[in-house]
Amino acid sequence: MAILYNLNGKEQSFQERVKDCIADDFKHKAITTATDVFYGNRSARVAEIPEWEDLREEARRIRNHVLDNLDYYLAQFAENAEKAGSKVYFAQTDKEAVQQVIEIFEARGAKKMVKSKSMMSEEIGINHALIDEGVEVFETDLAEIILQLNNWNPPSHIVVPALHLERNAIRDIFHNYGYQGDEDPERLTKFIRGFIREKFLNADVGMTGCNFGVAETGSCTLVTNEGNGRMSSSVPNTQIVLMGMERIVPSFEALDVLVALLVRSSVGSKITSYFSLTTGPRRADEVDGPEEQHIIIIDNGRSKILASEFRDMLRCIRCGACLNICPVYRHITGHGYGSIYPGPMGIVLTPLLVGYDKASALPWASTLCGACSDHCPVKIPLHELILRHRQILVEEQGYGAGMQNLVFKAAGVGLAHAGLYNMGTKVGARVMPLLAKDRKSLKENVSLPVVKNWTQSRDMDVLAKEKFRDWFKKHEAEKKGGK
Amino acid sequence: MLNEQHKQAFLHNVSLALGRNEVPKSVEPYDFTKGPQHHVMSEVQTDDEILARFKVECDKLAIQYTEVDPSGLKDAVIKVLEDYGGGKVICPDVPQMEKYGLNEAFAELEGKDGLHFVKWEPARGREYNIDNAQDANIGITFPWMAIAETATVLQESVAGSGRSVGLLPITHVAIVHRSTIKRRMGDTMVALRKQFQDDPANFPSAVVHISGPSSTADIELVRVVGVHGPVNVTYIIVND
Amino acid sequence: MKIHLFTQCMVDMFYPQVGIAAVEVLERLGCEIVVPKKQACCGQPLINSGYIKASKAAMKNTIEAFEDAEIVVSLSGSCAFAIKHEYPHLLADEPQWAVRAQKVADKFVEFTDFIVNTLGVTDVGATLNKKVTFHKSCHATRLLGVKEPPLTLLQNVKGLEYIEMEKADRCCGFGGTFSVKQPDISEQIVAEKAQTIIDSGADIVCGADQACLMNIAGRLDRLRDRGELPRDIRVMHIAEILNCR
Repeated sequence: MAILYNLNGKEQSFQERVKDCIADDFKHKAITTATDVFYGNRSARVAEIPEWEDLREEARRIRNHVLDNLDYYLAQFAENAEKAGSKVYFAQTDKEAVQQVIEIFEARGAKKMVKSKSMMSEEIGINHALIDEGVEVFETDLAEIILQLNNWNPPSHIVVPALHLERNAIRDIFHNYGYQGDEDPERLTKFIRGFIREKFLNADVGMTGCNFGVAETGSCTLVTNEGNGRMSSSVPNTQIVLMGMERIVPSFEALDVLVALLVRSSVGSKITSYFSLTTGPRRADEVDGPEEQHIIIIDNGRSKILASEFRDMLRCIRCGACLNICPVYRHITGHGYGSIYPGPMGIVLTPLLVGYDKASALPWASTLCGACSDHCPVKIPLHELILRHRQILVEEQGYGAGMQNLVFKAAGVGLAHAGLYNMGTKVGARVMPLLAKDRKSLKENVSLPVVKNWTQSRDMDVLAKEKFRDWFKKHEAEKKGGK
Repeated sequence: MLNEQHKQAFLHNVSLALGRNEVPKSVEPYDFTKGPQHHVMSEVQTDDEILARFKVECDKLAIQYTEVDPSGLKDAVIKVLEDYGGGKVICPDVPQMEKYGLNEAFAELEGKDGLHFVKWEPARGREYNIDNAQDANIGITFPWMAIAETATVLQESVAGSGRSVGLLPITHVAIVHRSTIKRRMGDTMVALRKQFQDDPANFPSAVVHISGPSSTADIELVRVVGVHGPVNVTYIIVND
Repeated sequence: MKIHLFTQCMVDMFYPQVGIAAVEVLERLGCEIVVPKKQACCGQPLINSGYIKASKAAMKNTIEAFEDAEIVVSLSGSCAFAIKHEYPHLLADEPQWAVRAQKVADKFVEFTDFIVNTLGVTDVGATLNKKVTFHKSCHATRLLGVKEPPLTLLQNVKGLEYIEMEKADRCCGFGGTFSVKQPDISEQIVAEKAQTIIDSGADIVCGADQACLMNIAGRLDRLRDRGELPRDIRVMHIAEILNCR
C-alpha cells in the first residue's frame, strides 16, 4: 500500500477526503464509539496504577537511551540474532526491503505467505510487491483479511483497521468466499478461523512485524490478541520479520515497562492474549516453528529523522493512544488522513517519511489541543512537533504563499501595534454590525471569505461598541475622581 | 559479503545521524534496577498474596482455573478433559507427564468416552505433529512461569513441547506450578534474562506469554473469543 | 497587590464585559490593576499557524507591554500558555529577547490560578443560583495545568450547583485558525461539545478561555436559531460568574 493512499481509487484533496469521511455516518459513528471505548478502558487501567506518570517518564528515558545509542544497539541486536541462528538484513529503503523479501522467497522457492499485522509491511508495500511476483498472500488479522477480501480497502484505525465496515457488509464480502451464514460477528469470526487456518497450514512463509527487538538476546517480540502473530511464527517453515530500525530495546527488562504501557495505552487492557518472544529459528531438536528466521531491519527515512529535530518521534511504539484521544481523528477517521499513519502520530511521521510536498495538508489537521502529547506513553511532544511542521511548511517550504501569507503578515504587523490595533478594531466595530441583520451576530448567510468558514456552523458575535480598554480608561478616571 | 557491506553502510549512516563516525564499542548500560516499575503492585508480596492476585486476574479475563495438590493433579486433569469435551488430546513429551502419573493415566483412559491421546513426538517430524495438534480438541502444556498481575503463563517451546501444542487445539490446558507464579512481568523478565546469560545456547527459541483465549473485537467492536488460537484456556494450579 | 491585567485582545474587542467583571472581582479582592496601553495581540494565532517570524513583532510588543509588571494576570489560558511556554524558545535566535521573554513569562499567571494560589482566596463571595458546567479548555487545563482552581472557585459560589459535563477536557474545536482553516472538522467537534453541554443539564457553561467560549456560544446560538436548543443556555467567562452577587 505504501504510506499514502487514495480511497476508492479517487485522487482527492485533504478537504475532499474529510468531507467524504464525515458524510459516512457508519464509519464516523464506529470510530467515535471505538475511540471512546478504548479511551475509557485506558483511563480505567491508568487509574489502577498510581505510578503511571513515572512509568511514562521511564519509558521516555528508555526509548531515548536506545535512540541515542541506536547504532550500537542495532549492531548488538544483529550480532545476537545471528548467534541465535537468525539471518539479519539491513535495508536502507522500502525498495531494498522489498527486494530482500523477494530474494528470500526465491531462495526458499516459496509461493504462499501468511502475514500478521505489521505497519512496516504496509509502509514498504510488501503485499502487492509479492502478489506481482506471483506469491499468494493472505493477511491473517481478522480486520486485515476483511480489508483484503474487500479489494484491499485501507485501514481506518491502526489497531482495529476495519471498523468502518458494518457487519452486513462483512457478511456480503465473506459470501464471495464461501461463507453462508448471517452477520453475527461470532459466526463471521468462526468462518475466518477456518478459512485462515487452512492458509496457515499451507503457507511457506509467515511474515510478522516486530514490536520490540531485544539487543542483548537478538529476540523479536510480537503483541497480538488473535493469535495470528503466534501462528505466523509457529506454523510456516520460514519466518520473515520486518522491523523498523528504531524498534530496539536494550534487554528483556525494558519489555516490562514498554509492554505495560503499550497495551494499556492501545486498547485499555492490561495485557494482550499473546506476547511472543522468539529468539532465532527453531532449534535442531524442535519440529515446529520456522526452520529459518529472516529479520529485515529497515531504515526508510528513519536515520534522517534521527538526525533531525524530530528525533522524539522515533520513540513511538505505535499504540494508537493519540488517535483515540484526538478530537480530530474521531471525526475524520484514519481514512481522512490518507496515510497508513493517521492521527497525531501520523501527522508528525508522514511528512517526515514521504516529504512535505506530499503531506503538506496534514499538519493543519490538528487543533493543537495537546491531548495527544498528554496521553502518549513515551511522552512524545506530538502537538509541538505538529506546530514545528507548520512553521517549516510556512517559513521554509513556501506553503504560506499568496493571499494567506499577506493576510497573516499584515495581521502580524497590525495586531502587534497598539495604535494600529485600536484603529482597526474601531473601524471593525462600526462595519461589522452592518453585516449582521440583528446588529449582534453574523449568521449562516454571510459570504465573506474566511468568515464564512466560521459562520457555516456557528454564529459570530460582532465587535463591541466600546472596547474593554476604553471602559477601563473611564473606570480609572472615575476612581481617581472618587479619591 | 554483500550483506556485511550493507550492514556496515547502514550502521554507519545511523552513526552519522547520531553525530559520530563509527559505532561505539560499548555504551553506558541502562540501569533498570531503579525504575518506578519496581513500585507497581507493591501491595502484593507474599506467596499467598501472589496466588490470590493471580486468581483475581484470571477471573477478570474469564480464565477458568482449579487449584490442586500434586497428588490430586491427575484427577483434576482428567476432570478438565471431560469438562472440555474430551476427544483428541495432544500431550507434551516432558518429564512432568511421568512425574504426575499422567502417561499412565492417559494410557488407561485411551479410547474411553471418545478420549484419544497423542504425544508430541519430534522424531516423527514436523507435519505429523502439526497435523495432530491441528485437529486435537485439547492441548496440554506445562508453562515455565506465570505472572500474577495479568494472569499470564509463559510457555516456552522445547523439543518435547512444540509451539503448536498450546496453540492449534480448541482448548489449551496449562498446568501451572504455584511456585513459578511471579508478581509482575518485571520479575519474569529478570528470570528470562538470567536464563539467557547463564546459557544463551539453550535459551528457548520461543517464549509465549499467554493471557486468556485468543480474541478479537475487529467487527463492530464486538468481542469474540477464539480467532486463530484456542477458544478456551484453563489453568490447573499445582500447589507444589 | 498591584497587578497587570492581560485581557486577551478578543476580550478587549468582542467581550469587554468579561474584562470588566474581572476588574471588579480583582478590585474587590484588593488588587490595584494596571492595563498597559501598549497591550495588543500576543501573536498566538500567528504562532499556531506557523508564522513565527511574522509573529515576532507581536511577541516583542507584548514583552514590552508587561516588562514592568510584577505579576500579570491573564484572562486567557491559551495566550498565557503561548507567552509562558512558546515565547522563550521561539525567540531563542535572539538571545536578548529570549531572556526578556522568559522574565515576562515567569510573571504570567492564569486568572483563577492567581485568585486561588497567589491570593489564597477560594471564596470570592459570589452568589448565583444556577446549574453551571465548566469547559476545561485545553490550554488552561492541560497545557498550563490549571485544573483545580476554577472548580474550587465555582464550588464556593453560593447557590451554584456545579455539574461536570462529559469529556469536559475535550477540545471545543476552536484551535485558533483551525476553526476557519478546517471548518468541516471544527464544526463536528464544536457540535459534539455543544451536545455534551446540553446533556449536562446546566443553565450556564463557563470557561477560562474566551476563544473557546466564543466558539461554543456561536454554536449554541446557531442551535437556538434553528430551534434545536432544548433550553436556554448562557455562556459566561468564569470572571463573570465570580462577579455575580
